[in-house]
Amino acid sequence: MKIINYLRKGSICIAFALFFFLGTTKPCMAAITYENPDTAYQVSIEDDADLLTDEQEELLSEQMEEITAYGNVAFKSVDTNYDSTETLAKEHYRDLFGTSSGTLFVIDMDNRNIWIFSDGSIYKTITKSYANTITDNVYTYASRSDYYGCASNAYNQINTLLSGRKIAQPMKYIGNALLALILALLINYFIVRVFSRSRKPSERELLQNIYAQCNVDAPHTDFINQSRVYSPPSSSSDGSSGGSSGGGGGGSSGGGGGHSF
Amino acid sequence: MYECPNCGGNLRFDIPSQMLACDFCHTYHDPYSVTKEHDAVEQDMYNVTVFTCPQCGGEILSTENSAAEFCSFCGASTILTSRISKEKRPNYIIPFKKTKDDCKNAYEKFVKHALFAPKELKDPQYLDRFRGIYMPYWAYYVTQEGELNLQGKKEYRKGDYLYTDTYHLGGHMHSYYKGLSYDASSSFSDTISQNIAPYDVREMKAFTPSYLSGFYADTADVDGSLYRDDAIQVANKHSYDSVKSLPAFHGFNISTPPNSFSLSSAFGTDIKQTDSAMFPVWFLSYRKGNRVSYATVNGQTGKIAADLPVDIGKYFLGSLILALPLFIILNLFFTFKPMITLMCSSILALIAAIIYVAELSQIQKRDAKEDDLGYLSKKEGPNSFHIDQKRQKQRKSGTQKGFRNFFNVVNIFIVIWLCVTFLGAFLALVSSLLHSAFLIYGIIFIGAAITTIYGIKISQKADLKNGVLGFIGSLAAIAISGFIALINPVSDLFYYGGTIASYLATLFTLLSIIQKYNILASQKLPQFEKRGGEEYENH
Repeated sequence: MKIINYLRKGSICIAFALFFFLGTTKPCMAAITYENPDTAYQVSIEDDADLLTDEQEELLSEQMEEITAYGNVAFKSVDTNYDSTETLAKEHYRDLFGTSSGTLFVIDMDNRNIWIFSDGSIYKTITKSYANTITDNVYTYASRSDYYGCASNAYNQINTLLSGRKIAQPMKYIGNALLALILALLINYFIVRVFSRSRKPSERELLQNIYAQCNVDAPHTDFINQSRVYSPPSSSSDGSSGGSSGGGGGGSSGGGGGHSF
Repeated sequence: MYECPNCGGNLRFDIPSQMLACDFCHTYHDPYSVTKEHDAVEQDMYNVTVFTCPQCGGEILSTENSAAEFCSFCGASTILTSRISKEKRPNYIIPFKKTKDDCKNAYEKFVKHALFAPKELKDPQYLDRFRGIYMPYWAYYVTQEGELNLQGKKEYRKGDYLYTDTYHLGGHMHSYYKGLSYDASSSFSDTISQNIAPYDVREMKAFTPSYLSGFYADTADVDGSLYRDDAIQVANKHSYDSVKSLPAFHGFNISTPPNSFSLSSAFGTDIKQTDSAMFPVWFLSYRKGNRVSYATVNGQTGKIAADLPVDIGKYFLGSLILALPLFIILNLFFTFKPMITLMCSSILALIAAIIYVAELSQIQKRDAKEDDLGYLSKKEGPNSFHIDQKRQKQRKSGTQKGFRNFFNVVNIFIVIWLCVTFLGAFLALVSSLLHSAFLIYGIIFIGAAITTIYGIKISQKADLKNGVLGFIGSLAAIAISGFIALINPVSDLFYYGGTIASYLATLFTLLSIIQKYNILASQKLPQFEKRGGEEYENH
């Protein structure tokens, strides 16, 4: 029994040690290609799927450097991914930058998906909606195997938004315009139906406008019979179970959107 | 025409003074003091001119013989043919209390709120065609005299036993309901007469033909026995509630349900008298193509019931204006992914198709006049199958208000809820095997399939040209969108293409809905059979 107890204590200690070690791991610094001297925000490129040439990586890095004025920026491509692209993007971002401001563009060749994940102050601009819009705008490059074009355009649009300008969202406007029109037609139809409805008078109103009187003289009750049915009251527990309560842990911020290609 | 005793001028009933006024010497006369020669001789009958519309065969009566230039029933502008006839005197009349100007003002106010009403409805010339018509009604005098004979139960618990004590609830009933009224003309829709009700029958006066001077009248062609059961049911229902609330019967559950006919024997209910009466209605018809819309105003109270057609141009313009703020809100708060956009368009297409089919169903019912007992009894006889069916439906709808049947409604709800839950669980299982769009499209497809089957059935029944066309586009768009969602292609062009196709089909369905609404806000041109009458002079 003692041996078992020692083993149990030992395994708990190892688990704690592992948890402590993993939990306090500092962001990976391996793929950092540039650090903005003014803001200390970094550029990271990890092309594990080898989609970009060295020259393209350099060009992309230069383009990404502009974004470091607002936050960290990273590129990641993978060949193999056992999770969803969203999970990969989120985990990779946390590994790289923790919870500081930044944006990550992922090309997942395994799921054939692209994804933008942002956090911190950048996430206020590159919202989930904009991440979806940008990936919608650039996924066709990835479909044509132009991965550099895809990433370059994505960073270009991210930079455009961060510098306060607008990006093209033609389908959003067309879709919303048609949706607004259909909703307006439906709302107006319901307005027409509600206002054209005639109100039939209630029974009370009808009776108020005729000669009506209901009298019962000498109302009385006479007992006829009694019946009884055996029906014991059902027992139910009065005690209430103690409810458990507890606050949820602090959720992580950040989010994004993507598109298959 | 009634002649002035002073100068021989034409007398007309003057609404503000409630007297007969002379057009020439401006004197006023008591309606009961002025009679025609024939009126006095034959107390049961009075002389009228019967105007018949050459187009629809509708007939209205007048005490004057000046030409009538349009038909109130079908809206045709034509000189109505006339003949002199004798009509049976009604027992009572409620004289007009609201003048034509009151009626026009009330209608103008009413139409003002109808944003999309055609401008013709606001045209003063059109409003001038409001015609004062006395509509025939049957007024029932229901009495409840005799010994009350009900059973009541009290339930309580003692230990492990539930006790039920049964009592006889007795007393002497002494109740009456005088003036329960139902329209007696087959050409006057029951729906319209219900909507402009109530009339205050306490203001009924003994009929004298001079009240009709300056107005038209319709004659009773529906049998006086038709609404007896309805009147009895109203009286029984009210007495039931009154008896139940008596302190002596407090806490008893009355064994007989409130809509049961056996209450008549329990209360000693009987129709003591059935009187014919004439009630005032301001009547306006608006004809468009082969349909006619009616606007009616209660000539005593001013209550309005009107069909309000929609001008498609105005409706579309109004929708475009409303679409602007909606577009801004959507852009501010929502960015939909292509798949979501496609699903939204399919759901809206389904909603539009369902509304369209529901309208077809209403049109079918309205054109068949399934709710008009007077029309059905004239067409099929007072004991026809449809009348029985309507009465049963009325009784059922009344019974459903009862507490006991509340549980039936709850049971139905639970069954539906269970079905939906199991269906949802099944679809969720399948969708987990495929992808999430399958679940939503599974539900949309089921809805679309039911709508299609019901829509085709109703279109055939409603006998409407191109009835199916209005919703089949939306359903085809749903099928295409569903196919796109299930294939789940990479290119957004497929989604947006499907979305735009769905929205365009929905737009077409919505415009068809408004066209059908205009059919619903109107009626088939009436075709009446001549009623005959004692004709003795042709013009």
